[in-house]
Amino acid sequence: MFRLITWVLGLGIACALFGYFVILPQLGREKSDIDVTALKGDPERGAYVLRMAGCVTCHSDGQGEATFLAGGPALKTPFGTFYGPNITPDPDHGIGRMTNQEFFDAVTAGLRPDGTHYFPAFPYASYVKMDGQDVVDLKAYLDTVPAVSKAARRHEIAWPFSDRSLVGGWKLLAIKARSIVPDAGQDNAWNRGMYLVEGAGHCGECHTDRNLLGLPRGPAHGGSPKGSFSSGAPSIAGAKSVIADWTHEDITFYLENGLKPDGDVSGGKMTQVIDFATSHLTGDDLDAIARYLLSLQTPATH
Amino acid sequence: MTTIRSKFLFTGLAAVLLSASLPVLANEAYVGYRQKIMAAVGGHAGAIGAIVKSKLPEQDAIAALAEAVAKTADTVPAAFSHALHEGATDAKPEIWDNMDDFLTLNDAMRKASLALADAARKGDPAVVKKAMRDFSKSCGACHRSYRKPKEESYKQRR
Repeated sequence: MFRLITWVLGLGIACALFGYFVILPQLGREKSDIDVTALKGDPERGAYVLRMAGCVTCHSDGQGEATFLAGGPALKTPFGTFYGPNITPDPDHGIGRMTNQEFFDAVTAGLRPDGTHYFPAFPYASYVKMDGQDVVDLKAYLDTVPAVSKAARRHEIAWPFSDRSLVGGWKLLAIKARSIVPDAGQDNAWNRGMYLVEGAGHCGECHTDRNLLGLPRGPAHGGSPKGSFSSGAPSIAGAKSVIADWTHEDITFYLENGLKPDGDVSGGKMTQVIDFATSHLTGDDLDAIARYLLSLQTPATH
Repeated sequence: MTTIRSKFLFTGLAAVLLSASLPVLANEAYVGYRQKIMAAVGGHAGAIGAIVKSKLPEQDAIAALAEAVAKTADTVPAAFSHALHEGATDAKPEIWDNMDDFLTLNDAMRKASLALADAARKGDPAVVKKAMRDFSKSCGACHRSYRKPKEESYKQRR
C-alpha cells in the first residue's frame, strides 16, 4: 500500500515537473506570423498611435520631459502592483535597443526580447489585434522622445503570479482572437471603432470582468462588479450598461472632455484615460468609437 | 457698558446654543445643502455640455451658465467650513486637513468657469473647446482628492 502511494505521488510530481519544465515553456509563444521588418515607421503617425493605444497612462509618472514615458505609477491589481517600465529610447533602461520586430513581438505577443513573457498587465491580449504598421509607427515615434536614464521599478507580485513562465498558460487560455476581422455588414466608421475599442484602446482590459486567474469572465465590456477580482470599471455594453441611454454626442463629448451628460465628471482611472488618451483623438475616431459602442447597447425592453 | 456686556453674553449664549444644536439640527441639512451646491455646478456644466455637444442655437447661454458656476463657487468656502464628513456624504475628511488646497482648487474651478464664459463670448470654437476641457478638468482635479470614488460612495450602500 505504502509503495503504491509512493508511486502515485512520484508519478504526480514527475508529471508536474514535466509540465512545468517541458510543456509550459512552449505555451503562449506563438509569435504573430507577421514579419514587420519590411515596414518603415512614420513617427508623426506614431505620436497619434501612442494616444490611440493609451500608452501614456501606465508609462508616465508625471508630464515633464524628465518623466514622460520613463516609467509609470503603481498599477494595483489583485495579483500585485505593477509599474509600467521606461519606454524612452534609453539603451539601458528603455527600449532603445529593440528592433521593430522585437517591439512588435513585445506589443502584440507579450514576448520580451529574451523570449520570456511580459505580465498581462501589459495589455497585449488586446494589442494582439493591432495593425503592424501602427506598431512600427509607434516605435518610430518612441525613438524620437527624449531618452531618460531611469531604471524600471520592480513589480511587487506574490508567488505564484510572479513566475513569468506561468504566463504562457495564461496566454493560451486568455487570448482567443489574434486579429480584428472587419464586419462587412458594417461601415468603415463602425469597423474603425471596433479596432479602437477592442484592439488599440484595450477598453476590455478594465471593463470586462475577470476571474481568479485574471481570465475574462462574463460578457465583453460587461463591467466588473465591486469587490470582484477585477478593476471595478462599470459596464459599457449590454444589459447593465451605464451608458445605455447616452447619445452619440454624449459619448464623443465625454471622451473628449470627461463630462458626463448629467454634468458630473469622470472619476477613477478613466480620468487619466481621458487626459492622456481619448482627449487627443480626432473627431473622426471619437465618432467611430461612439458608433461601435452604441451598437453594443441593448435597447430598452420596457 | 451693561448693554455691551449683555450683548456679549447674548452672542456667547447664542454661539453655545448654536454649536451645541448644529450637530443635532443642522448636520444633515448642511450636507444636503452642499450636495445641492455641487448639483447646481453639475447642472450648469451639463447644460453647457448639451449646447456644445449638440451645437444647439443657444451659444449666448454658455457665458451666462458659466458665470452662474463662478457665482456658485463663491458659496463653497462657507458651505464647507463645517467639518461634516460622516453619514450620507461623499466628502472626504481630507478636505478639512487640507482646507487651503481645497479652496485653491475651488478657486481654480471658478477661474476656469470665468475663462469659459470669456471664450464663449469671443466665440472662437477652438478656444471654447479648450476652455471647456480645462473647466471639466478643474472639477475632476478637486474630486480626485476630495470626493469619495464611486465604489466608496454612500449611495452604494442603499
